[in-house]
Amino acid sequence: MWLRQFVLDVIGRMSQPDYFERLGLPRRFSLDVAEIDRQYLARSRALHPDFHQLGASSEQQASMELTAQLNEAYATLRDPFRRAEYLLQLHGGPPPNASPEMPPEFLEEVLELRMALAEAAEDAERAEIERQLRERRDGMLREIADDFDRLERDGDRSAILLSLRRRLNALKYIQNLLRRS
Amino acid sequence: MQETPKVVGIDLGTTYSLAAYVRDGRPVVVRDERGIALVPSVISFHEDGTVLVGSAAKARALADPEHTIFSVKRLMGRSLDELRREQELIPHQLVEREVEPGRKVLHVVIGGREHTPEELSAMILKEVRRRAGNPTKAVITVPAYFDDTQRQATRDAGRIAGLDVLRIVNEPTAAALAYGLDQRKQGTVAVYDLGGGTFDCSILSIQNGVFRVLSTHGDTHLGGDDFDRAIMTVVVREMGLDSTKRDPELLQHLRDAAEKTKIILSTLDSADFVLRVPSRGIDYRRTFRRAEFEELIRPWIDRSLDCCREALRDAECSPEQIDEVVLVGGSTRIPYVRQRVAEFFGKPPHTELNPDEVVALGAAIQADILAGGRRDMLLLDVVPLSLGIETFGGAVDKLIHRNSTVPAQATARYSTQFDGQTAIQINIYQGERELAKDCRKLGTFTLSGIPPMPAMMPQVDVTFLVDANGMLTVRAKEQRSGKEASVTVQPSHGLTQEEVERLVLESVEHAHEDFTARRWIELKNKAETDLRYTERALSQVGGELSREQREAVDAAIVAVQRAIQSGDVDTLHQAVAELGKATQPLAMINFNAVARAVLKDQTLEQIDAAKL
Repeated sequence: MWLRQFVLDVIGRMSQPDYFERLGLPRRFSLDVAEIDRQYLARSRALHPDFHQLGASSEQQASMELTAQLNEAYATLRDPFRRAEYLLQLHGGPPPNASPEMPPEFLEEVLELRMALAEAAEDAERAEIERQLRERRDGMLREIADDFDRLERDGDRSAILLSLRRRLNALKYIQNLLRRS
Repeated sequence: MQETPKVVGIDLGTTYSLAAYVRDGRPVVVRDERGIALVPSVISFHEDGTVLVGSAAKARALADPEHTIFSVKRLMGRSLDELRREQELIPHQLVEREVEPGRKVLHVVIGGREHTPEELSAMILKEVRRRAGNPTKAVITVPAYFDDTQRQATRDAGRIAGLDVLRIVNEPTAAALAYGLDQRKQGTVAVYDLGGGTFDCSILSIQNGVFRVLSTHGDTHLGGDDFDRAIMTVVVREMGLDSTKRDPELLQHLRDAAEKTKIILSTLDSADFVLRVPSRGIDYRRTFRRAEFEELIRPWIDRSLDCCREALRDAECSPEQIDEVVLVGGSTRIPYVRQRVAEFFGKPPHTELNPDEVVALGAAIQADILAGGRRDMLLLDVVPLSLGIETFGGAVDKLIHRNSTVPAQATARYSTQFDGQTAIQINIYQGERELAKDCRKLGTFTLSGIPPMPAMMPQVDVTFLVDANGMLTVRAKEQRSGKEASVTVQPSHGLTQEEVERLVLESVEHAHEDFTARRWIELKNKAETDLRYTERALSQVGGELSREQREAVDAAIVAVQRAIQSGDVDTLHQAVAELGKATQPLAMINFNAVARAVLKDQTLEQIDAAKL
């Protein structure tokens, strides 16, 4: 089932430019957010349906679809977690369910953080835990950036891809905690 | 006399409506000879068939409450079930008819006649339109938190009023546009929009004339009407009245007195609630102090600030990161509202523009942009509520998440369960809850024309596209055969396009204007625009089309040319639609080429400033 989906995704990608191309950005993890914004806004100005309202109907339709695709690309690349997931997929890395097991000490840490969040009575206490979570998230994103850098140079490709998969699965836990806090 | 604008922005409000348009590059509101811009959103029906709209209708409300209707906006795109909790606010009988299996239409009974909310809103729109000199094109605003059905109902109302609705725009976003124009803002802005019946909070990022909505949250049942009702509830209790009995006359007197009290309390420290109905021997007076009123409305203000908190969270912002706060809507005149908003965001809010007019001004700017006027501003708005489909077990699989920038798209793949199955039915929902039963059902769509194959073999890619109006369209393609599967979406509520068209035709005003003639001219212009575009695009990138694609385009061109000769509206309509479909690949290739050229020729800085 997964393989079929994968093959279809690859075929689908061949006919369509990837998100990096849509935004005119290099295909890598480390990107400057201001640069992503700039590219996105410039392209929005060129493509947006608001500026093609007087055009032919097929022109309007094309403008809407291309803008929708641009928006999809932007939403994915602007968020570091989604960008990493997408890039890993482009590199042919393993899907999320390929590495379900998490180190027990990590799960313990998440559990503790979750309980601390649930018990935090005061806003200040909660804010402190949120700060810790964000710090943890940023640290994990740096590790992910390092992995992607290693992938660009040579190295054991499949080991790095698997490492990325593990890191992203772990990051997902932290993201969920942050979202729920 | 003012000149007649071609396009207008219309704020179709719960209590007031108004229009604005751009004159010499500046938005101005439409005023009558007495300088009044606001048209009360009130309709009054008479025995002899005449219909009054606006202040004349409002004036009759006390004398003839049975035939006067307020707050139609609260009914737009809603079902009877959803309206139960506020029915006491509506002194009219509501009925819901299942016009065909799975689709219900709400009607308001006034003087023995039934009217849909769309038709009632159209009456208000017609009056606003008339005052603006009968323009044919308009942008109409809605609360940001309106769902697909409510937006659809608003657009239908515009059509019935004889308007070509260029765009449905969110009210807080329109307000930000009006403010941004004046002050050349940069940074992050929060819009707090508390109107007569609805509340929205939107967070926007403004950069070089691009207004990007980061998040929006709201409550389509929170507004100044609720504050009137809070006062009414106190009075009803103290007078010992029976509030369960339907009594339009008394209700109208109560509402009138409550509204007056509320308005006075925005400037004075105390106000007398006076209820005098000599015919019933009622002569009641009671003083409300401002502090008491504030205590009464506090739960609603708390609720509005909860929405702000959610919006901030979705935008990943803290209140300190908000550079400016903008107040919109008549209810933000209440000092307590201003005070609470200032405390929440930690800064005094902007109130320079009239909170009743700012939405219409913004809508006028957007109308001007769409009509090809100014190009230095761009609005990037979001879809307020997630869109999804029902999966096994009644859960909702969200395809487009809330706060996604529109236009937005997502594709899901479907297959068949049985051998030889040629159709699939899918239910569409909107909302944030996990289960379908807790979300709003938008409709059911049927995919048909799937080539017969063994079960699980067909691969139907269903694309959900939310356009710039925040409205959904669905398209489907079977991947193995490459065939477009046909999709028909049956809405769960509201009118079909055919019903809207019929209402447009029935409209008295249009009989005078000769609707068919107007439609032919518009269609012919469109056909000619499309032909010109196709020729140009063919000469530029025609070589990149496949032979089949080229043949399809050529055939469609001939068909349109013949249809123009034929003089028949329906034939031309069909031919133009076919040409649109046939030229889709051409438009995509051409568009990409143009966009690439634009981006290559200029540095990004130049593009930001350029008028593309």
